[in-house]
Amino acid sequence: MAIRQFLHNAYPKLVAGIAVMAGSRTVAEDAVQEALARAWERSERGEDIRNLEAWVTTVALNLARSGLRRLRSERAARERLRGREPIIPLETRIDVVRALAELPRRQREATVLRYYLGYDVKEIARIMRVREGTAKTTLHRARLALAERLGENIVQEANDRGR
Amino acid sequence: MGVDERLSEGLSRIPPADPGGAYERVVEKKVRRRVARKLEAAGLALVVIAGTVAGSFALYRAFEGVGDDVAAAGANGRIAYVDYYGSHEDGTWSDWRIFTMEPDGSDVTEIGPRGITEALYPAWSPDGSRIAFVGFQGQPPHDALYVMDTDGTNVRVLFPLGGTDDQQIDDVAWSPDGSRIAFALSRPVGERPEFGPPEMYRSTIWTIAPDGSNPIEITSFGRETAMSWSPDGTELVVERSWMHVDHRGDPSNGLWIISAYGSSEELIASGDAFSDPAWSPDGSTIAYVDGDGQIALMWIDGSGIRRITREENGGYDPTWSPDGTRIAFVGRRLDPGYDESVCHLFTMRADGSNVRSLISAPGSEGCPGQGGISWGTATSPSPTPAGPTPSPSAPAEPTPSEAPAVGEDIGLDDRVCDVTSVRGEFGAPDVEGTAFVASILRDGKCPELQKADQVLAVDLEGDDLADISFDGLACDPWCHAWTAPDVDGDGTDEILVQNIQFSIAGLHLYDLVGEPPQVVPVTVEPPGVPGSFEPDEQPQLWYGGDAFNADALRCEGAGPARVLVSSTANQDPPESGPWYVHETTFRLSASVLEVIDARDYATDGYPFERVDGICGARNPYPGG
Repeated sequence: MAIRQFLHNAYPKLVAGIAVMAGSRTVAEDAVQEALARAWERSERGEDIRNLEAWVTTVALNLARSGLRRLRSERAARERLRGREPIIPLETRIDVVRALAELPRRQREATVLRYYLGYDVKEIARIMRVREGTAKTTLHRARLALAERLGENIVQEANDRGR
Repeated sequence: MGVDERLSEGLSRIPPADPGGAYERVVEKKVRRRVARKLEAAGLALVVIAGTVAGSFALYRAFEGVGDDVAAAGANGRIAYVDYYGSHEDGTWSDWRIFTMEPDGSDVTEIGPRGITEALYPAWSPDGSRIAFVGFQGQPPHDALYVMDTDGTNVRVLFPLGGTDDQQIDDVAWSPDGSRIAFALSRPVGERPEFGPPEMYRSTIWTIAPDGSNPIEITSFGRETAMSWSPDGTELVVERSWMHVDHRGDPSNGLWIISAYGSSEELIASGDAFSDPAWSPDGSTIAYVDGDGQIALMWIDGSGIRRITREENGGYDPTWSPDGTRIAFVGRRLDPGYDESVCHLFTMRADGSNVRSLISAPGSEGCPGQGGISWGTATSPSPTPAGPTPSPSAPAEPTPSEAPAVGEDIGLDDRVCDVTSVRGEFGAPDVEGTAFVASILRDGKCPELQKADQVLAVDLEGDDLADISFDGLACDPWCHAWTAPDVDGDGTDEILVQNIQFSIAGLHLYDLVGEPPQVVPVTVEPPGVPGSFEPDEQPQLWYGGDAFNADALRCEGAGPARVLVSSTANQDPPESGPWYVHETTFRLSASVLEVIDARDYATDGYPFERVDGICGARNPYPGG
């Protein structure tokens, strides 16, 4: 069944990618699973989802954004009660991920879609529901910002490629 | 290393997620979505399925056995029912015949079938191609289980009872997968008196294949008189009646859930006050007739009992529509100007509102639907009526000549669909009205729920027609009417509208202000709690959750001191750790929620208690 194949092939990376975008693996898992449930439901209604991966990515991304709002207050409560810093997830020990976390949400999403999940600009525009030009600009700004955070030696290259 | 390579290399070190257990979670979410939609369509609450013991049980039962074979609810097709035919031409017989009609009462068609003296307990096959029924026929006349095509032809006996009228079949139900037909068979026990009927009967549930092969008696107690299949076909809810006065009050009387092969059974509601059970298509709920002859609902664990009919003489034979949004039933009403009561075959929303008469008859002649109702998925009338088609009784609104109207009229300029509703005293104390959340029809069609323009409309006077409306609902992806609490303790109810997201629900509070009243969204008074409850914004009050994340909303205090408490809790580590709870307390005043307290605490046990209703809402959803 397509769902099982998806879980085996695409799910592990998609969840990890959305976790980077959203800053929470719990939210990412919930969002991707929910998106899959909705895709399944649609297929039972006879709707044709041509590109399941892109569809689930789009829906999961939207769900993750709204799921974050709820998580925020939970986290605040837990951290206040424990009186200590939350455990740093593995992802944020990777310098690129740490740098990504400082970017605006749209830039972070575009970067992960491009460099982790492997979508091209056209697909990124469709998933983020923006025009291609906007997707390109967003990616370019993200590259510039990341280059600055990751080391001055690649800023120039980022600029060059953005032209 | 260039920026692209650096990004790709850095991101490639992110560990992929473990898909273990994800399939089960997706299945759970899918079923939960379906249950939630059906519950909401039925006017029930999503919250019960998350975070409460009874709710978890109900959800477990709803999920049990589902996976790739999750049963999908069907579309609402024609209703088959039994009606009094009148006398034969020679005036010797009073017949009961099977008819079908559209769900709005139009296009009444007699099915018959020809050659069967009395036909009772019709049951549609799931594919809508055949109808099983009990026929009374022969010399001397006796019961048998039959099956026929939907035009009354091709009648075949499945289970003959022999030439005696001592035995009878009292209920028939076709399994959702079409593979079995269940029926309740009653036979006399002991010696038959010389005159009169036998004193004692034994009634048990049987199932049989639709070709008449492999009959199995699946119960053995002896007082099982009615049954209804679970949507996945693995279980049945069975009524065990008292049958004989000696067994009145027996604690084993009531509703039982048994496996389809009789290998297990469980009592979910004990007593004499539970009959005519009907399992909802979403698997969560059982409709039944209570001890006062009114139709009521319960969760499949027997909790959350709620009466939904208010007919002066009650109702019986509740039958779910295939999509689970409506219930057909038989009821009586006093005919204005006459002493006689009039029988109706009604349908109503699953919350008991919007009662519509489909067909009626003078009470003295027997009720249409008495003797069996089955709501199928077949959408076209039978191709060949089985004979003359006198309408057995006068159809109610709309008349058969009218084309079925699309959508519902709830008093707005536009017709609507996907209507959910909740009752409350919105305009004045003691004047009960209805709050609707509905989709506006687009180009005469019901739009997909996610893309629909949804409106909140309020009937203040109790005539089921909206007096005011609000079209600025914040729905992502869609909303349902949820409950009507009196949060500010002023004697009239506010409205909580549910916005389903993930496995939890976001609740939005609406108030009625001014004269004439207007619906306004309740917002947070500055400074609020930035990040959680933004100032001047409409707050989303979460409710529900998964196993280790739970949200709750409750009301404390009374009158002007009444407050709303919104809590969010997380168990860390899951299953073994403490629960960390964050609580925010609000007071509602002049359509604004003022944050008056916020606190954090940790506790070892599950932090929330089950409370029926919010702020004493008179429409307490089970477990809500």
